[in-house]
Amino acid sequence: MAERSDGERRMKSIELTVSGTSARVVLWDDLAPKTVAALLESLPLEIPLQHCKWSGSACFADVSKGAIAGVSGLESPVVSVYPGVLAVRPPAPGAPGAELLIAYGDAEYRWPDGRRQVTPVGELEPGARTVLDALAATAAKGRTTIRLRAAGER
Amino acid sequence: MPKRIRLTLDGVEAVARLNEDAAPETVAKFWAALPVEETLRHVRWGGEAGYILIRKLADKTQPIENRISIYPPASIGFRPEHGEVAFSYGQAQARDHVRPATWACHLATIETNVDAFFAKVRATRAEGGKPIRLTREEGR
Repeated sequence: MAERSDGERRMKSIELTVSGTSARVVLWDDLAPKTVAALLESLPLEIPLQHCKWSGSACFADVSKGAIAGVSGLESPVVSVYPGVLAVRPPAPGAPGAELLIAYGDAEYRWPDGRRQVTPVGELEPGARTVLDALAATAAKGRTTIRLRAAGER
Repeated sequence: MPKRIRLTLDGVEAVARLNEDAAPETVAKFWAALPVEETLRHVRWGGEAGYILIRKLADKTQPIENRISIYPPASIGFRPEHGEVAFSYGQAQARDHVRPATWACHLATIETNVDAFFAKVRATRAEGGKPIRLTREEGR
């Protein structure tokens, strides 16, 4: 998060669309500068999104191609991913590729061998209930598509 | 003769043998609840498995017989606290949002048409829920 000459913080954001519902995501570039930069460099993205099978109330997308796959290491690592939060699992030894997670309810990033960590990169703006509902619906309806595009700064 | 059940998932049939010797009370309650028609969905916490909830079997006081935590492939696990029946097609475990590992009853093992049945279970992840019917397999 940068500071403008007038003293206000500039919040980077992107536009997220899932199953016909859209919301703005405020990026946490102060917590995860390298990962957020890689995410922005990857845009626009239009990729399959499906429900997690180990991590609870969250969906994930494979982001193994593109700038995110070049991120080395975690930033501000967490295990719990709260509703509306986006997180990235960068490539790691024994875990090639990269994933983007979005939680719509209780979620913990887990693998078969237990809990692991991810980098939190941003959060849906308040009031994004329809997007959370669309994410939750993948548990019953199956795979969908997520679109991410730049939304500028404000 | 061991009790068996017939499973029909989105048009694909399979037969499973109930583990009556190791889980007599659980099998008796499950048998009494049949037939069951539900929607099978993919699990969210437990890995490579689909599940249904049989609400009338939910009982938080019921002891867990024939305990497992890791679900063997082709197994049917039962968690009495939720009335959850899980069908494991790969690496799976009894888990939930609170517990990274917990216990389930190894209720049954699928014996016939295993690959086709579990291909349908696996498909629920990408395609969404599918109708499933569980009936007693009697007189065969």
